[in-house]
Amino acid sequence: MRRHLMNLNGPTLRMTLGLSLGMTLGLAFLACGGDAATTVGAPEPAAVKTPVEPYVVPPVSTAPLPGESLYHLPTTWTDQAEQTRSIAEFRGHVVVLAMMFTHCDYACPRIVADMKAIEAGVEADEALDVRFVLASYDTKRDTPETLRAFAKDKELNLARWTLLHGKPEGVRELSAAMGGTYAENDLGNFAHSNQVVVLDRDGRIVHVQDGLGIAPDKALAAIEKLRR
Amino acid sequence: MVVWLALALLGVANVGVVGDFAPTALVRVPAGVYRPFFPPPGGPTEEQVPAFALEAHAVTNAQFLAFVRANPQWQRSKVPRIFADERYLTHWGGDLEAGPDLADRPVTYVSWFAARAYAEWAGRRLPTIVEWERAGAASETREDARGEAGLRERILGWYSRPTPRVPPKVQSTPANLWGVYDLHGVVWEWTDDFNTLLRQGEARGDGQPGGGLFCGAGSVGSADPSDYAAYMRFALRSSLRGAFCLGNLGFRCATDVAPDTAKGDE
Repeated sequence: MRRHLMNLNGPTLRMTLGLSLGMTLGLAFLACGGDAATTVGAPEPAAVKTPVEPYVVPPVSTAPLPGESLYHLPTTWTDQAEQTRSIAEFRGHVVVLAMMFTHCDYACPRIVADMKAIEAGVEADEALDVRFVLASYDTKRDTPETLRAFAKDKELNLARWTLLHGKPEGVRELSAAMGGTYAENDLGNFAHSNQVVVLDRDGRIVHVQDGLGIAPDKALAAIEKLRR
Repeated sequence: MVVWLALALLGVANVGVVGDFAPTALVRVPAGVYRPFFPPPGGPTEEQVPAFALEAHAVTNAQFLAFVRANPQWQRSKVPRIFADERYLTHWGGDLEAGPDLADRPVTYVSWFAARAYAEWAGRRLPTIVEWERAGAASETREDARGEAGLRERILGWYSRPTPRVPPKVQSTPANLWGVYDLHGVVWEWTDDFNTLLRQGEARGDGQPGGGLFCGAGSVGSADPSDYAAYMRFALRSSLRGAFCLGNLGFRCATDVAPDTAKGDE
């Protein structure tokens, strides 16, 4: 299958994606109609017959990372499922990334809301396969367990979202690489810049959304350019 | 004394590991009080700074050359752009050509990421803003000379002169009370937490434009508006990005030290 896809020329590939997208949307409508839930591992609906194979995310590039890539950052993180993660693992995906902390009751919920607005614009679009990553400033309180509870509370789809608990060094480096600023106060809370960045499949920042309550249009336009 | 012996041994170990590299001697800055230039809102206007050790002078081109020789990924032609902009070590002749006349001058055109990597390699770290300012507040004779016209005029005099093509040699200004050279008068220096300075006011509706760009308790109001020199340093730090490389911006390393109970810090 992989070889098959790679051998396709440009127009054919676009057509493949188009058909595949149509199929995906069709499935989404079926699901909305109250039909069988599209859970992982469920048998494929027999009704969908198509000569085109479904879209498969192409293999991750093995070329050297471009110099501007965030994925050069060497530090490791722990995700909400207690798994050790490196952000370089997101290579190959389009990534929407922000930093926050869960005890923040003002800006951070709005950052998450802004990211969900972006998600709403792409979730039906498997061909883009966007991942959403939240890295916490709070290395003390935002344990994987806390992040798990936060994800549940915010109804984050963990098939797409990853929440990261880090070490102080890694937090400072990621923040600096994103061009952000933050400071911890006496109460253990953080003052921080509010940024949502879009990373291309090699980890380069292609769009920075500064501020809160931002309409997702520009971020979605930046993501659209990353469609293959 | 024990601390010093330990530090000295560490230094010797470093020399052994990396050949011709000699780390800068560390001098001890005892625990003391720092009055933050930008105190947190409603927070304390004084901050206790634990004792720490600071390199007596900035890292030189010769020392940095030893670092990039031992760590090729930090050489000019190899460093990823995310860690250092295109001006990284632009004053060198090549990856390993620092130039003999630069040997004992502070290395400049280095990014924060590179400075941090050097410090880690040397078994040290970058000083925090609070540590740097605590050390930098001392004159030759006084622990906190920030109110003194003499020190202030000297610093502002340096700030007002154009940056020379090559920085002066290290230890070209007098050592301060702690034995630290050149905190003012040679190059500006990176701090570990340079990106903790928020450039806007409190995000929760202080009415300033751009308030939504930042969240939380980072609201700032300077403690001493007459301390224009400190304002300049904070303005520079808050304008930097981690990959920036500037011709008048270098760094020096610091380490933690055990509290010196025998002397009774304070």
